[in-house]
Amino acid sequence: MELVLQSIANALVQSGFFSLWAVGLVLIFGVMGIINFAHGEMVMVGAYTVWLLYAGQGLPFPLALLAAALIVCLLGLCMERFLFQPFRENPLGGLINSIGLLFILQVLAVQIGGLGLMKHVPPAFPGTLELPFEVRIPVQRAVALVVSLGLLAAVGWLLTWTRLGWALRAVSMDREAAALQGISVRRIGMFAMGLGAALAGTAGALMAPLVRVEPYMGHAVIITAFIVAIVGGIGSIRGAVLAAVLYAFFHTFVTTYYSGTLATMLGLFIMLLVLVIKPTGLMGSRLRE
Amino acid sequence: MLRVDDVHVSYGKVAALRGLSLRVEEGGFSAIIGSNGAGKSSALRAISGLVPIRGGEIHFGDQRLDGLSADRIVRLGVAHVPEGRRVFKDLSVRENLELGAYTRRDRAGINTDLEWVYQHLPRLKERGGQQAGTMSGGEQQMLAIGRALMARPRLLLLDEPSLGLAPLIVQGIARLLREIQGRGISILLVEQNAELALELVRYGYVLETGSLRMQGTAVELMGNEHVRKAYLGI
Repeated sequence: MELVLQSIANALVQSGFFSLWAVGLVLIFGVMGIINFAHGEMVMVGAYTVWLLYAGQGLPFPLALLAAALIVCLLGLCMERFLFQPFRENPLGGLINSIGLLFILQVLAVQIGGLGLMKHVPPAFPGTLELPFEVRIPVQRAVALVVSLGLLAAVGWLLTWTRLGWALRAVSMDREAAALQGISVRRIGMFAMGLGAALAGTAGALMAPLVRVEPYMGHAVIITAFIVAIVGGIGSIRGAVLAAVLYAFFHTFVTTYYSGTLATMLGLFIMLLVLVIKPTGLMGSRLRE
Repeated sequence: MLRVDDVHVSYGKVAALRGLSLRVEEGGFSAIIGSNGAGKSSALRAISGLVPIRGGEIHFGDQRLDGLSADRIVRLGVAHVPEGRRVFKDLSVRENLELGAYTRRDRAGINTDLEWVYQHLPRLKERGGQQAGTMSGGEQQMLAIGRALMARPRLLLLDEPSLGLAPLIVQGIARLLREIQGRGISILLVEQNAELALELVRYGYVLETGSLRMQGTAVELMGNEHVRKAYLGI
């Protein structure tokens, strides 16, 4: 019983991370029509920023977190400007460029921090919350969950209640029709890219004290983000969040009771099943050509 | 007000427009008629900046339009209701209309125009909170026109507003277009339904395989032997 409750607590924290990864990916894909393969590396850069600034330079954690969000946001804007925009007419070009960048960022990370060495990031918020039924959540994880939820709520608010959010959704539904309303598709693309990247960077920063910070940590991120985005219905933000929560619970429980490798394998299998049986996913209403 | 001079458009090696010239006067109501694939949509798409032109010039007032991006052209006062309505299906009717006014910041003016649209298209008011994609084709066409009006344009481009709609609904759209023109908004209408178009407009252009076959007042065109045979089925 304690193990079940503990797993639920762990899964909740995981849901926050999975959502942040997937929402960024879906946002970028929806608005720009480009699958950002370097999304995992954006998370990695966020984690490295915290390792360098917080663990290395002793900057306060919240400041390092902010820096990670800004740096990765900037990285996203540069990607849009120099890797995606010149290939506007050729989405495959953008995708291949993002794969190239993925390798460059990994090599950079190896150059900066070396390979194999554990990059220790001490928790900024030590201590553990003792909940009933012997459920324990380290404060660092609780903080990560709260910040993730706050960010997701902010994105949800933006998309539902602001003109900018409507414009963003309009562009992801029909670029041409959006342009005919006077919406600058280019600027909205920039915004989506910056926002998606900032979310990825923040996720990386929040994870840094909780996971192994290493050059290839992006792999797990991109695989999970793909599974979640496809199961949720690619292009649907709400679907992505729903799928993130479901998959976080699935993944946490399979990992706890069996193994993490099995969890990821099964996750990929579920993704394939969804693609075969219901390619539009849980909430997606349409497929892109 | 709108001057299109010798405009060429092609998709790859396929020429869609070969030297189209036309005018729309201030407050005028003109139509381009022609069969499927004649280049009518390409003409509107060229004006609103959705496709680049390969030759010629497009002027709106003293502004040159060709070369500008589509969103800039909207800001200059040209609204385009595209073929197939293209409403934002997952957004509500109200959100669609608000996006039509995306370029504007005058909240009071936007509300006035919203009232006008609701008054003339009461179905949209009833369905304000409904997802646009769940409405009928006719209602979506009304929404697409209402959305374009929210930009408070000086020139309205309409691409096949009658396509696939029942005769009764087409009549409603015709009435609406007259009302819009009555507000002083110039209209350039593209229609396969030549009968409808020539009933509405003062001046018409007949487009065939990307070139202008003839032009004239609606009365002249309706009396023309070729137009009667090819487009009016008389």
